[in-house]
Amino acid sequence: MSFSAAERASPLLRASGLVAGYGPLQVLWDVDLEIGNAECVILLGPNGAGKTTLLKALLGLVALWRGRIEFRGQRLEGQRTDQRVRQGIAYMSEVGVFPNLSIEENLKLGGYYLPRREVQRRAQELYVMFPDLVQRRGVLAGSLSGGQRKMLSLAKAFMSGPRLLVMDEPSAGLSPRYVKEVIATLRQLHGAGLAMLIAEQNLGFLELAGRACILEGGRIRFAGDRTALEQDDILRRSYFGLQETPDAGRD
Amino acid sequence: MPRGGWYSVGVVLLFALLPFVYGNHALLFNMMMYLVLAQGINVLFGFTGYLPFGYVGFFGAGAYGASLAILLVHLPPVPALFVGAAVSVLVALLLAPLLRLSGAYFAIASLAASEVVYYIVSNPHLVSLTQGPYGISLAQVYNSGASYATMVVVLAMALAVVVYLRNSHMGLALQAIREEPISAGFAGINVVRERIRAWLLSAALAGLAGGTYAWHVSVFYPKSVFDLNISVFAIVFTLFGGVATLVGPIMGTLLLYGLYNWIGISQPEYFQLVFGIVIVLLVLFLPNGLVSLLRRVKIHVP
Ligand SMILES: Nc1ncnc2c1ncn2[C@@H]1O[C@H](COP(=O)(O)OP(=O)(O)OP(=O)(O)O)[C@@H](O)[C@H]1O
Ligand SMILES: [Mg+2]
Repeated sequence: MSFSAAERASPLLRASGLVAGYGPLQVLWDVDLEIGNAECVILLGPNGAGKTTLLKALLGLVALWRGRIEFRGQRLEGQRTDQRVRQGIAYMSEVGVFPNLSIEENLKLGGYYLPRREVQRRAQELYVMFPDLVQRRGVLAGSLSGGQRKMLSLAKAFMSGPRLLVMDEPSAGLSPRYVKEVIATLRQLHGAGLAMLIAEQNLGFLELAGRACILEGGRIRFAGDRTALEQDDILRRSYFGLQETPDAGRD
Repeated sequence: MPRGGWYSVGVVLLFALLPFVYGNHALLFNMMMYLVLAQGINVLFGFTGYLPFGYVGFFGAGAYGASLAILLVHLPPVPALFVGAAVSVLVALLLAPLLRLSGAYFAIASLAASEVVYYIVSNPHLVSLTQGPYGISLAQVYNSGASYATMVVVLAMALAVVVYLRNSHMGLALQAIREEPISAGFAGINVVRERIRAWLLSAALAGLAGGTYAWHVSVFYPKSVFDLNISVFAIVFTLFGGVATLVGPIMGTLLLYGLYNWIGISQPEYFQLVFGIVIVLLVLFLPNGLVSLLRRVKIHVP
């Protein structure tokens, strides 16, 4: 992936002062977030902290009350979800795939708005990264196992050629073996220059991240290098303590 | 040839040639009309998940649009059909906000909307424009052969639309929207725009069918072109065959409309019974229609 000088200078995504919620309930309180080009940021926080809400606000699924979002220098606030996606943000939701469509159709939908030549080029790469899926392309996505579906939704996100991959709990519902596989695939994508924002409770994903953000009660409690997080005693106790070892889910 | 193309050519040729060997042209004509309407329902319901009980409103709007273009503007019938389709599309545009509703609310609201169109058209105050409740007579352009041939062309157009949707980007996008509208947005699909396109396309098909029907029968009343039974038949035929496929609605229409003509016209009370049983069995055992039987034995369904 190559970046123009302007893109190298400014971050890929810069969100500032985000305030959002549901009806009268305010969930996000002045949240700032920055993601650099090709950077991987992990978003941690207890249940109900507002992680999902923050991701949805970035994608335009939850209306912002206040704040601004810039992506590759463009303001996103007024845009629909599909417009934001077309600018290069892929979102891997919990649902992820279209169960009544075949694997092939799901992948086609991934590259829905790309020119045909680009889709073909990506399909070639896909063959290398997800050989199982390509082999079973006629099968309905609904007949895949949870782990296979997760791989499909990753492959689908990859097909759209995103600059930033946003994921909400990619480990949800996966066996440790599949969590490992997902992490390995993400590492490959990240290695190829894809920036990521991962909301996770499974600390196995921490190894991917250059930076971590902790959201608590809708406010950013910590934002900094992963190593700084790992060295902070209080944070370490409250986050790593919860799950016994930072390696939960890795074996 | 795209998937389903040859089936379509076969069906169209069948209806083009059958009149030479089979005398009941009214049956053939009505069957084609229902094939078009069933495919129109298919475009909307099969590809977006909206079930329009008021679908007949577009049929009636097309019938009246075309008729008034003939009577008031003195257009020849074929251009008048396009005016009829345009009127249906216009009505659909006005009703597009209904697409914000979902499920049963949409079905009922679309029904109410078609009633509104019916009451406007049949309103006695509009006699000078629409002839109100007295109906329309197109005796001066009556031509059963030409209108039959036109319906064959309209049928070909309807099938072409579905073949296109089955094989195209747009059809895939619509199916994605039907399954998971929010995830479709994540795929970069403009959900609102695609839904409206399917809605207008579906209305245009009903409008063409309505206009051609008006020309074919040449005498009709508002009640007969806004008859709720037309919606119900088209919907049941479509669901019976299987939505989101080309052949499902074709099979459903040929079988059930054939059945209707076999026992329905001479013994309507039995037909109601058989029809009711068929619907119940369908819901219980074949929610995805006849095509799901074919799929079960691994026959590819275009
Ligand atoms: N659709 C909704 N309507 C109303 N309130 C909501 C809705 N979704 C979430 N909330 C509330 O917003 C708050 C934040 O929820 P959110 O789902 O963003 O948390 P989270 O950090 O993703 O939690 P988890 O780790 O459990 O996924 C919670 O108090 C929740 O009850
Ligand atoms: Mg969440």
